[in-house]
Amino acid sequence: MALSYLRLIVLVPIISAAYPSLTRAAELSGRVVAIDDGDAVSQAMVSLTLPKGAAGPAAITVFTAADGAFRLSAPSLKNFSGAALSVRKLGFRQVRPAAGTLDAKSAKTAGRFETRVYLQAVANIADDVPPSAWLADAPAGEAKNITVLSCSQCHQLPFARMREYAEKIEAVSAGPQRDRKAREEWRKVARHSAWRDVVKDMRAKHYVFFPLESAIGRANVDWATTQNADYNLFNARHGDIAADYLAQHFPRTTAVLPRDDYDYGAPLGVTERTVIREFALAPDSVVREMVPLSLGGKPYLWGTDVRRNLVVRIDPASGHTRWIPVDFKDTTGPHTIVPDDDGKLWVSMVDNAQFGRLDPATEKWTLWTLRPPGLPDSEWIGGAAIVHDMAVDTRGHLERDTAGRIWVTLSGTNKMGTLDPKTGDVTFHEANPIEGMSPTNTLIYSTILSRDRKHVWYSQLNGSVGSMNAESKQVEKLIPFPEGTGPRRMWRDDANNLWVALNGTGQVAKIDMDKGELVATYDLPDRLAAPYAVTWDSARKALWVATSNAEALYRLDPESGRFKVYPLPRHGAYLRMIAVDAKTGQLVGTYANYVPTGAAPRMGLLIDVGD
Amino acid sequence: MTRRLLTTLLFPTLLAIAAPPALSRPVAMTDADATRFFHAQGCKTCHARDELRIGPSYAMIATRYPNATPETVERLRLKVLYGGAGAWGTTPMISHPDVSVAEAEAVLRWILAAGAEASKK
Repeated sequence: MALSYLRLIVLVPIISAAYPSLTRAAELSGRVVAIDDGDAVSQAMVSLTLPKGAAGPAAITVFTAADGAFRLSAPSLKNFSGAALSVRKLGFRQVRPAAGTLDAKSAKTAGRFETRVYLQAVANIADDVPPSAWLADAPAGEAKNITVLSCSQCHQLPFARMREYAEKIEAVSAGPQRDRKAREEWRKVARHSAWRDVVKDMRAKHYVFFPLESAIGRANVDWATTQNADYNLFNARHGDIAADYLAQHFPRTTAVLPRDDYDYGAPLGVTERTVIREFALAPDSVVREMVPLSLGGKPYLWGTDVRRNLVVRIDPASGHTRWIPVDFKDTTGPHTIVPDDDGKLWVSMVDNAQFGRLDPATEKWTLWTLRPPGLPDSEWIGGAAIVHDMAVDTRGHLERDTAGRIWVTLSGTNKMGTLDPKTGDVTFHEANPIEGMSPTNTLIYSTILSRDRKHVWYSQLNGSVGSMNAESKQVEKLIPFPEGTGPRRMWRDDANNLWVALNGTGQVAKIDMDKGELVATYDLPDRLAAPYAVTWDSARKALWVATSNAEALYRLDPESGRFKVYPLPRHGAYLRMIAVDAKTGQLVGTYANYVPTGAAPRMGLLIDVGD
Repeated sequence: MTRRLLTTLLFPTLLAIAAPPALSRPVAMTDADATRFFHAQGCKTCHARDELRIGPSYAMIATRYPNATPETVERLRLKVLYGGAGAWGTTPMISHPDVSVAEAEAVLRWILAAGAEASKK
């Protein structure tokens, strides 16, 4: 008898370790109901924040079915003590239990809990809408596009502090008294002056783009240099246009937004099987991008922390993060991360012209310097190469041209670069100049090889989409876009079409790479969404569009031209890139506003689409 | 004896809890501390010791508030924490919700002292 107990004591942990699925995870099920009419609320977002210190994600979000029912599983928990539940649905507020509390009853089966959440329809949705809602009614056109493009490069438009700032402008108490007309005229001048100062402030804050201790970081660059528009991400004219547009059209207050003034613009794509897991990252990190890559058969997420010169590895099961330094004597600013077919990771870096390959198993780096000749000696923004993106294939894996060279964009220089990793040979090639734009203003951004790997396409955020012959290095095709369009991240689909996120106009473009022609543009459900990147999903035959301002992910069906919306569970959810895990179909990304520490979420994302 | 011991232990604790933030003892900031603070909080994009950027320089602030009384320090401290509007023209100052009361007071004392030095030059 005693022996049997002993066996049990020994065997249970062993079996649990070997077969985690046999260990019962805490499960929460429930229903979301509107108190106004007692009807079920479908596609409501149900977010569970796990107790601090719990293994796994920091938060798990699921969505309700047509009957308002939801079910979520927290593998690391035995019960929900210390966890918090919030339910969101645009046009409603949570009334019972209070948002952030959890009132769950234990079900008959061990580890299972049940709850019911009540929502109430509201007239004011100011606290629920994404940033894009606030300029929805402002006049459309080039000035608006330029404003969206210029601001959304680094942060959401409007980021919460912009809303606070706008209200403060209206509270400035100087100016003429007792003369209402004169005071309104004075306030117009005050608004222009204040928003122009914001543009100056942003020019200085651009330098936060570089790592904390960088020689060209914010701490080390003098004021006059920060105000030189040629070294900034938007030129002097665009800065003036943005300041004027904001002065004229930014809402005087953002305390109230009527229910009918914003909707998602397309049907929601979420189902009761959609699960969004958010993993906490260091609060002072800026992890721009994240990709899935298994190591020793175990799935991991890998990201680049541009602020702290690190690569992060997240174990989705435990939530544990491992921070890996770049093996370089100075600051590097890891920016874009891409896996290859051999299980290695390739990382471009914005500082000190570094480009590297990381072996995830050994954590050993191989580094190359991709600095074009002829740049000023000082490694400051006017002379920085800013190694930005590298060409990827339809799966998002590193792709090389027919000669085995890797192609990169150099955002500080309006040049393309090549690297032959076998020989270490590097070459540099001028892209087309854009009138009125310095090389830094032009902001050459993304690059993709055509299917035959003989033509390399590039986007310029303040310019065109073009292609270069991979052998002759001559520019072959140019597809111009109006100012403010903002062609940003690109991706190739299975039919050799190039998809381009149009950041300023809220569209995506489809370019036939064989013909070198723009064949279609698709308006996003929310034109102020500021799409940052597009990702082709071969298995689903769909295009994912990551947005900066809409706090949502869009899915485009290219056949029908229809979009579906996947809302994200958090304010400040500024997406830059989405990767698709070819094995699981899961989506991977991060939140990456360039804002002060603590002012926006720092999290990695793992999404089960639920289709 | 026990009561005296409890009083001795508890009184300072209760006093510390009950004390309003303005009475917290200001910690002196070194130049290096101040530089780190200005960098971390983004102050340096708008302010410098003696250079006019978007907002007033520290020298200008010190000139405007010489021999600052505790009330002046309190007023300026609130401006650091909650922002301001209209004291130096038409451009408002943003709030700094992550700055503690003690940090705000310490940095203000540094500004008033260092700014006064800079304004003498």
